[in-house]
Amino acid sequence: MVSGALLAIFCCTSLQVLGSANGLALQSQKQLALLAWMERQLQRDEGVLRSFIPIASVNCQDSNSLQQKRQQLLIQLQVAGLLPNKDPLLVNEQLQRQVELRGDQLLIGLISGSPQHQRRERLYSLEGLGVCAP
Amino acid sequence: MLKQKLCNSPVNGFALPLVLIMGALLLGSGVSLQSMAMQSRARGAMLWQEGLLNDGFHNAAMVFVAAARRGESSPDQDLGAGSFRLIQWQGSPTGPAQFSVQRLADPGRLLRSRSFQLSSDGRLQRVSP
Repeated sequence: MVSGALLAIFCCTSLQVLGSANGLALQSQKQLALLAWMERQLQRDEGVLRSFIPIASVNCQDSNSLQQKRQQLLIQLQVAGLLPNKDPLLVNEQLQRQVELRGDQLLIGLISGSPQHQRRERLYSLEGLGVCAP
Repeated sequence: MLKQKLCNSPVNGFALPLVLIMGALLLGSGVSLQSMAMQSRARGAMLWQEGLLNDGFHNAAMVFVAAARRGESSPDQDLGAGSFRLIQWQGSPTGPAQFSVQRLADPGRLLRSRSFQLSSDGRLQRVSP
């Protein structure tokens, strides 16, 4: 009787601990998958930015020309969209991408709704991308 | 009847320690797995922080390059991962140049710095990992 009761208690407690460990492991795997996806997306977006304007092709003294190039790049980034998400851990994840002009820089923001509200953002200036003619 | 009691008594005496050992093993393995999962989560959080820090350095460097190119001063940049300061610029404002960006110390945060390179064609590249 005592052994049976003890066995039941041990089994219940162990199941709870295992369940909690499983939840934690799943959460961390999801977090790593999300991080990897965001890294890939940011690298792809940087590639898009670098490929659409040839190096040293813009007169950076001319603010109109700069603004025009920024708008062009913004459109290219919007067209490029999100990378396909093949990871089964991220299937139900709400992933958003925000592309906009912030001051004189291009902003690429990636946002995930869960497990926590996580966000990464990168700013790009045309000068830093090397598009200014010497 | 007596024979049955004699047969049962050693079994009862044997069952309790067996249950205790088995229970301890079950609990031990559960706790061990939980500890591994917590370590993995902490590693994930650390990698996430590192990613945010990389974004901060990158964003600050982009601002500093733009300011240098326009001949403006480079004030500290307050970004999500902290405050960043341009600490050293060697070379031409239009490139080639090498410069360092430092994250200013906040309570609970380490002082970190990264080096960047502005190539002769004006492209920004990270030097240090």
